[in-house]
Amino acid sequence: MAQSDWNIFGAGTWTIVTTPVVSGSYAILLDSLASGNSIVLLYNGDTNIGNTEIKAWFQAQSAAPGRPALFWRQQSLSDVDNGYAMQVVTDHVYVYRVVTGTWTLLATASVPNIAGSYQQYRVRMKGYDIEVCRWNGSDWDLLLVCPDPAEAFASGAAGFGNWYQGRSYFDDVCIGEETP
Amino acid sequence: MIRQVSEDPLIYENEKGEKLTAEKVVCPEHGNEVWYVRDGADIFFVKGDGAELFCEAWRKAVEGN
Repeated sequence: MAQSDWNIFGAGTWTIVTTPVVSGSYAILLDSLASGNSIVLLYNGDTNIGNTEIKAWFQAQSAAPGRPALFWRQQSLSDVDNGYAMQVVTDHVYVYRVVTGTWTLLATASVPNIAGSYQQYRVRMKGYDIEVCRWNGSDWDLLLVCPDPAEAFASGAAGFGNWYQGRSYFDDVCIGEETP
Repeated sequence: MIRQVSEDPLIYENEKGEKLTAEKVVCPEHGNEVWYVRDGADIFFVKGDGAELFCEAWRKAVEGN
């Protein structure tokens, strides 16, 4: 993929780094260190993904822990004000529905601390049911399943980011249609 | 873990199956309404402007109550 495949916005920066990586030679560092700052990358190659699946390895930087996030069914390529979001903050994962900039929590789950070492997460949304899993080294652990009772968004764009403050690393981000 | 069980009224459920009804506070820094639930000692943001996700001002206001 090229930089042109992504719409990048927010008061932060991205840098290709050689360490830490999960596989291959490179990962991406998202830096939005100041309080209230964020950076988001939305894939613009398909902005109408319905049954979304996102898999990604990420971690918060130990020295300046960020808040890595995944976004899907986003209605705009220049903000995340309408769509769904999953975020890992320290040792909890949070799933939100966002409508006109109002974030509503759908579910949470406890996870190992995200700072300092990579973890792989997978989010799937089929119909209006959201499933979040974490890779345990040999299989996916189911963390939570929650519906969106409002059935707010049927499709949209997907991506990832560091949402509010700190630094995060991402590697091997995969976005596509949900698979059986 | 908590999960939403009702949108209106805004109600959540914890792992024990206990119902957690959302309460509202006005953020003293941003002036936004913030909905939250308490689960034991934990306070969860459950609805509000994105700026309130990690705002400490409304949390301190809640903890001061």
